Amino acid sequence: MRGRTPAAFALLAAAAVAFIALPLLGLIARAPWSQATAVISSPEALSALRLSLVVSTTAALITVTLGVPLAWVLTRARFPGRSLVRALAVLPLVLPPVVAGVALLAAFGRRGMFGPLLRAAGVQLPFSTAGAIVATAFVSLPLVVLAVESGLRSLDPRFEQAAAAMGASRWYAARRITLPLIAPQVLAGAVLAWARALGEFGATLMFAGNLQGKTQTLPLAVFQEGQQDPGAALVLALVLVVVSVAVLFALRSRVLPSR
Amino acid sequence: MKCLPALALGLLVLAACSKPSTGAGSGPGSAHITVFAASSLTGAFTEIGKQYEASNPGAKVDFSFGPSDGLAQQIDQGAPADVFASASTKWMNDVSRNGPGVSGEVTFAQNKLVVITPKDNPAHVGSFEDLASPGVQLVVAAEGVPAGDYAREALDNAGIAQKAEANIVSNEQDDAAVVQKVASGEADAGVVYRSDVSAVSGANVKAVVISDSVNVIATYPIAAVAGPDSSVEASRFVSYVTGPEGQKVLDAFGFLPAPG
Amino acid sequence: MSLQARVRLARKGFVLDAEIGCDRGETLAILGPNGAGKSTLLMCIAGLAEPDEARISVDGRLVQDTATALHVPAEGRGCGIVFQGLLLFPHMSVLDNVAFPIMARGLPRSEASRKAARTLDEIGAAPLAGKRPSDLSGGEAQRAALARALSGDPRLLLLDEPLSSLDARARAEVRGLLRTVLRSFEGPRLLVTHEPVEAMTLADRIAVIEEGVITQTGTPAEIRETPRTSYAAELVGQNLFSGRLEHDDGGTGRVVTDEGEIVVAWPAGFEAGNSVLALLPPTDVSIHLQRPEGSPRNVLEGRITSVSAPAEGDRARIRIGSSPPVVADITVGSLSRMGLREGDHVWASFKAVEVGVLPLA
Repeated sequence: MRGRTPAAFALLAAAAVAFIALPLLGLIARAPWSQATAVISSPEALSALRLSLVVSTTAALITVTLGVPLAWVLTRARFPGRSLVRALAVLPLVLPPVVAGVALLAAFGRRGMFGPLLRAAGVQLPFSTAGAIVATAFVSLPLVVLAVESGLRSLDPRFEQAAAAMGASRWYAARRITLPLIAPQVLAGAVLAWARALGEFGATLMFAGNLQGKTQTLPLAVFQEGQQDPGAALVLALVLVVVSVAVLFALRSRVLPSR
Repeated sequence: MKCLPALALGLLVLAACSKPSTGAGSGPGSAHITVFAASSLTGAFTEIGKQYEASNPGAKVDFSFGPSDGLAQQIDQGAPADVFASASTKWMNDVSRNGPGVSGEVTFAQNKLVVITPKDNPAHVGSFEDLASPGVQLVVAAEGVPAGDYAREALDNAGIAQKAEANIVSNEQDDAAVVQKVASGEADAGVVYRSDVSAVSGANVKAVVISDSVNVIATYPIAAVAGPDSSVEASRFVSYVTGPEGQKVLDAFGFLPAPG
Repeated sequence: MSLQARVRLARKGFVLDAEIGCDRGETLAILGPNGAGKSTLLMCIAGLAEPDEARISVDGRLVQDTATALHVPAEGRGCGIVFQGLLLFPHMSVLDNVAFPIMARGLPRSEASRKAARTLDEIGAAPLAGKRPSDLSGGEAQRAALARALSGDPRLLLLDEPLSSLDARARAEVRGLLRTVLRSFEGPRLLVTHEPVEAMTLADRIAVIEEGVITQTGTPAEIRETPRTSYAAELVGQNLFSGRLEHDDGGTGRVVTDEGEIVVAWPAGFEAGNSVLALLPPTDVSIHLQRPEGSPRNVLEGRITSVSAPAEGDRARIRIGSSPPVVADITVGSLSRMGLREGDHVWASFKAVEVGVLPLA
């Protein structure tokens, strides 16, 4: 039986599509296509694109490496203060990015809590690509945690019991049973984190600064261009859109399954 | 309640359609004006606005501060500005040529550049030339922003452009952001306006003088933005800024007087 | 006793307090209604459930003793389990599933795969190796699960309701396989079920469990002879005859038991001389006050040894001391109409085709 959609829902759904599509159409319509090649092939644009890809991908890898164990512990382990830790894990998601940047500076800036420690170890995060990676990883970690949590919760715990009964150590069961079975959710979380990292602006600007080749990711480049050459900004914005859409499309069956 | 979503939607639409209380759309003769002014004018113009409203009962001045290049783009794209005060003639010309146009343009102030360092001067920057020393983490405004263009011009004047620009670790969106990065201790040094470190605003940083032989004079023009409902109030505000009261405030905030 | 388990577990509204023992080479069935605690008991033995008090030893080795806080985790107990619902790992092939217990113990993949292939072969499931669990039929999945339980050379075999999810035909197939596998497994084997037929055909001894307590332990014959609770009696009231299948004239068969013979339709695939279990639902037995004429091939006579008419419901059970003895289930109306009482001489009849025949031994 085909789903019966109430008329009001159909209307609102159409409005939702328009809400998302119209700004994108505006971008495409107003972009100065004659300038497009010049803008895209400029060293600033290429540098921003390369940097964005490096920063986002590294941030995605870091958030998965940290997020999967965190989600595991939050769903499987019992310890005092668990709900507090969970609130903490989700906090970067609701924190305004600029606030996140200020907080990161307070912790890891030169005058921050751990500034002297980092300096003694020869590490400088502000004004560096590493800083941009830290800022983007900070804001996108919750996305991985939430996705993996949902995967672990929907997993039948009896599979891991069965694995244990067959002689599998905790690590072996996690490696060969649990992780493969939640791989789709881990991938979905990684892609979401990657997309969030790609678009990160406020925290990066505040914590890492804005320098072409080191910290000026695409969103920062769009912003700077927007102050001077709105046409070029439109072109760069479209580059961002195209890259995001391409990745979402490539992973569509994994991230957005539809029946 | 079933009607709650409809109610919320209705309220939102209502709020969105409310008449803008400021700007060129307020109609001729309106005593409510919006002034777009460069970030470096934040302190001075806020004070001028208060004094202006005090001496012109019924007048209301709203300010939008930001980098002159960004403000110019906004005006060009139709932002409702009645007055534009830029930190360089470049962006006033942009609004004049590519935007709605201006009337009654006049230079109302000038400024000079200065080097700032955190209070404890970690990189031991004692002169403008020290900005070329390797390892100094220098922050300036981005190219295109008047403060950034002036800074690069001064570095070029001093013959240290290449070495100093290699030390740039971040291009900020305006001089206020540069001050913030230096004051917080993240950067070793920054190049900003003299007015940024006046008695009123620059308490957290140490200033290093740039000699006049290499320094750059920043020219600040102000004008009423042309539009279908050009406001009389706008011209009156411009006159106030160039008049004795406005000039007194600007002087107190560290600006140099307009030439002549 | 190769497996000794004493388990006590109290949860909301339910208490399990049971002690069982099982020898090497012996199959013990834990038989009870749903909710009696049998799966819980099995999970405790495997180390997958936490009892309040327990003392469990496998193969002479103590694996759990709450008195001394000794607790060997599940992965160290050496149990081979076939779970209710099988729990075959959906993302692996059957071969990888079967190889899992071997690889979990540290053997490299190549060796584990070889061993797994051999185990699959031994139970006649070699063609399943490359398939995914989702591609398997019920019977095939059961074989895969069985192979996986055996491949790790377990010390103890635990089976939780191994036939309950199968349809009648698959059940017959797998039952045969199970019997063979159980017989050839050297260690103790524990089988949990709510089906008396499963218990009777597969087990050497049966422990009847009701509401968390073992009410009777004995061989199938012992329980049949002297059921100690009404539940056990209900189980027995199934009319189970074990005997030898012989040919009868006209293409039918005879099951020759120690207490008499009954005529059955010849079951496909059987040979004369097979040991069989014959099942006859009590509701298929008709009671007559005179010898009946007509089609039923089985007509037995004897005296009524017991009449039980429960206060509720409209059915009554009549036990007749015929050769062999049978139980009939008739309506209370018929009971009073015929005026049946203990000691009355009656005839019981049932059709040959109404008797189900299952292989035994």
